[in-house]
Amino acid sequence: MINILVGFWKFLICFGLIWYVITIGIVGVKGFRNIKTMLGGINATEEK
Amino acid sequence: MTNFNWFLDGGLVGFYILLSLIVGIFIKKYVRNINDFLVAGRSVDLHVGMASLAATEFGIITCMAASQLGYRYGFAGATVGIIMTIVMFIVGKTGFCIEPLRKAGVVTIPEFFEKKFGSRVRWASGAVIVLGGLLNMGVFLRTGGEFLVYVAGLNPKYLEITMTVLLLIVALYTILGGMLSVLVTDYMQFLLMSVGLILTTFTVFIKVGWNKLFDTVITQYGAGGINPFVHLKLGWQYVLYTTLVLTATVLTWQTMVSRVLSAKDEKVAKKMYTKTSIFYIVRSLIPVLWGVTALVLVKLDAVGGNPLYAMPKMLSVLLPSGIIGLLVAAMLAADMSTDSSYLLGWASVIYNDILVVFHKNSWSEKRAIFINRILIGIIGIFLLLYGLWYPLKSDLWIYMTLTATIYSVSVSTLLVAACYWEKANDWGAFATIIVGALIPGGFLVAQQIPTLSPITDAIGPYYSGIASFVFAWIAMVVGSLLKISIKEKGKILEEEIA
Repeated sequence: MINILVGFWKFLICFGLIWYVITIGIVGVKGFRNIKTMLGGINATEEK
Repeated sequence: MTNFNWFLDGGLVGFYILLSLIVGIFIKKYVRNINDFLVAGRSVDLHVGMASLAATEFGIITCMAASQLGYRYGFAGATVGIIMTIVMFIVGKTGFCIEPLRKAGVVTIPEFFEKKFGSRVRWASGAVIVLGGLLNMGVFLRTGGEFLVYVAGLNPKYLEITMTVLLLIVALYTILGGMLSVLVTDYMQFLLMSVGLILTTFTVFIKVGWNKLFDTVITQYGAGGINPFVHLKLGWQYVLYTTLVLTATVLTWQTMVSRVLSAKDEKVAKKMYTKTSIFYIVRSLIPVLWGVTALVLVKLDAVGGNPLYAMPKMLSVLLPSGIIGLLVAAMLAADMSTDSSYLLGWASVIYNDILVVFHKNSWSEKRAIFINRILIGIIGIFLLLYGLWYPLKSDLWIYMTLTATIYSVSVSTLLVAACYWEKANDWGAFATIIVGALIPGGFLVAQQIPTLSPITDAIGPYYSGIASFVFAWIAMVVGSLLKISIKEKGKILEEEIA
């Protein structure tokens, strides 16, 4: 039972860290685009 | 002794703080009205929302408290993260409560309550939210400062002044740019914080090795160190209580809900929750791992018997120069994003729901933004006085849980009832607010009375917390049905008289 639980926690650590590294990349690129669109949208409304 | 190099590491930290300030102030020009200031014009898209939510939810306080759990309970301490992930994923997938909340187009939760329960409940729930939230936030600054003292070797006599300067910087860009500044700086802070967390964790693995971590936990705590259900100090009641508190937090915590309310639409709001849910495993596991590493390397005597300081002590000696500077910058980034969101979150509730009796939504945009800026400033001053200059005497984790319980028990019951129970009314709402605050508050007072303390020790904080949720719902049902029954009797009586 202990071995199964240790395996579970090890899997969770690996899964969490891999997900995190991938997410940093995705959020880094797409988040920047979101900010540009958000601020651009506000600017456009102001100019109207 | 610490590996922190004031030239290399300090320069990195200083550059980052300056950059945050410049970007935060630059955003001010985009703020045109109160909607932009409080909910970023409801134009927040998925990925910036994810970055902001993750950055807000990870501060030095979270890291210190979670690493303390790792030190005291082993990997079982990371159960919090698994529960939070499951709850958040389910809420995001189903849209439970958050969908009707976003559809309503409100700025805060109490504003949503007004539609169902009336203006008095809006005011009372706003007061409870602000009370619980500010007390919860009150310990952020000091804990953040203590982390810096241990990791960077900061002289303790400069702790107050350092954290005051940091708070001033955060307050300045939040006051000027509101939610827009918070979002943009959160994005930067998320990236820096994440790189720091990942690099530190890999350094820990390389230097200590994970087999040693698991061996130490099993030697110290047995199966309980990896299974919360068999841990002597945790057990099923801990898991159930944590599930209830975290569900309530996910549904009602103002700084989380403000992202839902700022989202472009309810679909983005739901996706924000679903996609950020896995972050909570990382948010809990990384500091717990650091706490377990501290268990391997740091004896309790070396940190004055307080497990809270074991993790920063471990990092100060384990990490090389360069990485340690990045970690300090990352942790400051984490803290700044949390502080800015909390300042704005509680100020928005005070303005929107407590001061509503004065402004009645009739003030000009300029005046409304000005008042919100003043409120952020006042909250900042409160934090300095309460959190930094007033030392906390009780245990950090108990304090955090208690303040969260005072808030979340009643507000979550009100929210679920407002969304899904037609018969819920203001009597039930008031009864819930009173019971929700009385049980955790009463438990705390009873703990301080010597004749009652054996009873509170026997009950324990988990059973008392579970009871708070159960009795809050009983109060809601009884109060609501009582009003309906009295009204019906009144009608019958009137008809008989007529």
